[in-house]
Amino acid sequence: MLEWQDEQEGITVVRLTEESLTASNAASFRARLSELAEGGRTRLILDLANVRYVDSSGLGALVSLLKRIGVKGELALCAVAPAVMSVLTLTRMDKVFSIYADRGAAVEGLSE
Amino acid sequence: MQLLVVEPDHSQQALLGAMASQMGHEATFVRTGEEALGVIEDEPASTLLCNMDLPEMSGLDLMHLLRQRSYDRYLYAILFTGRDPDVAYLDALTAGADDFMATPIRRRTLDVRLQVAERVLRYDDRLRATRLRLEKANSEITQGLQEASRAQARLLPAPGRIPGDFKVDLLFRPANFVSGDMLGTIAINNACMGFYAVDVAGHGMRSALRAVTLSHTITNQLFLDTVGSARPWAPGRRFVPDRLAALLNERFVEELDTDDYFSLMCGIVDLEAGEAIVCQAGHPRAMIMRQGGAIEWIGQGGYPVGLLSDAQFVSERTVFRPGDHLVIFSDGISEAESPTGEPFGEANLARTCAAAVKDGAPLSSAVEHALETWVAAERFQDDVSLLIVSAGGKHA
Repeated sequence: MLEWQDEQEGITVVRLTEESLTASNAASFRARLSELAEGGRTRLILDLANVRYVDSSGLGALVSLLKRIGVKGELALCAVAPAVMSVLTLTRMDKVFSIYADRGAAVEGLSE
Repeated sequence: MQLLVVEPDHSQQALLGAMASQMGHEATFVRTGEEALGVIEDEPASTLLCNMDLPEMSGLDLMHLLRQRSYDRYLYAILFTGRDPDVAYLDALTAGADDFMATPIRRRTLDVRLQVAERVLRYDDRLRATRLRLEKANSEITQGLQEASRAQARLLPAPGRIPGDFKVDLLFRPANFVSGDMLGTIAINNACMGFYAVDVAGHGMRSALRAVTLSHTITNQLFLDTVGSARPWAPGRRFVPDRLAALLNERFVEELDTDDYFSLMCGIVDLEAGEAIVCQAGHPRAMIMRQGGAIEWIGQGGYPVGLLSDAQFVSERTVFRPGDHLVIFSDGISEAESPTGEPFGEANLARTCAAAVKDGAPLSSAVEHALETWVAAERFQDDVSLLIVSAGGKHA
């Protein structure tokens, strides 16, 4: 479900391999990413390039992670598909998350 | 065990009967396959002992017929014959027998074979008992869900009993018995009516419980205390639906968990002022169908409720006159997918409503029909809710 790669300055890029983030996988997604953060990876970029659809449970999981990780670290999103972006815009979450066009821009953005 | 023995020869019957009863089994005897078929309907035999060489219908034919029929419990079948056992054995199993014996049948052979039968049937009994328990539990759960579904439906606005000059039409279809969506209307006076729609994250029982809690939380009093500034109601007063969203957010937001947040669309239609004021909080934007058929949308997006403690909410206003329709819908409608994964979308909703208005048909049933056609399935994947507010009467 998740693949990650450590980058410069303690940044980790996590790629979601599944095509959707919904009620069926949101809980395990949240648990896996929390584990990563508790293991010390607290500057996270979530690469959503594969994800075509996020439902309300998926959005809840993203915000919950932001609340948990955002206290002592960072959680940014990148490569957000248009359909997912429209959910973030509808719910104003585009104002809450740092969102980058791609991995490169996100790593650069967090390194600044 | 109860044995049914199909054996044409009386002396063989007697021999088998004697051995079976020494082993503690009870045997019933018939001489032909036809008799066996008749007896088996009423006899509770669990094991069949059948000679393959019968006068009319053969043992193999009998076996074929028995396996085509369905009985409450499994019939364990052992065929026997004096013919070449290497060939007959395979024929017997192919015809549906569970086991095979060559004659003459020895006591020890019969005893072991019947022990195998007992073991298999005991297992079958246990499976059957488990299945019955599951069926009973399932029917109790289903019945409970059906009652819960009816109880939730009773909390919805009753279109026939809307006071004042308003008309309300709605569509409410839980994905599975109970819904994480809820709809409500608040009667204020003949010219003013409040409304809300919520959609709790996720679906199923947990979301439904939260949705029902919300519908009890948003009382007429709470609505008036937040959306209006004071009572008694004065004409021209400014309504502020965002205060209801803010209050609910304060009440339901949790420190870290986000499991029970919800989207909300609440507002008011004020015919005296000729306007509708809405607060969109994570819910899809609302559609306004003008009397002439023009379509407009209201809502620039907004935070859902119960997700972030510092979320700010805003109200938006638009002209609303008799003959206009305000259409509020959950994402179960706009995101309902066709078999190829294409969402129903706002454009289809607008087209469907425009066509229904032109035909003078109720919007709710037109949308329901269009959605069913779109998803090409009997059930919707997500909870579906639709609330349509329109006005007539002396304001028309």
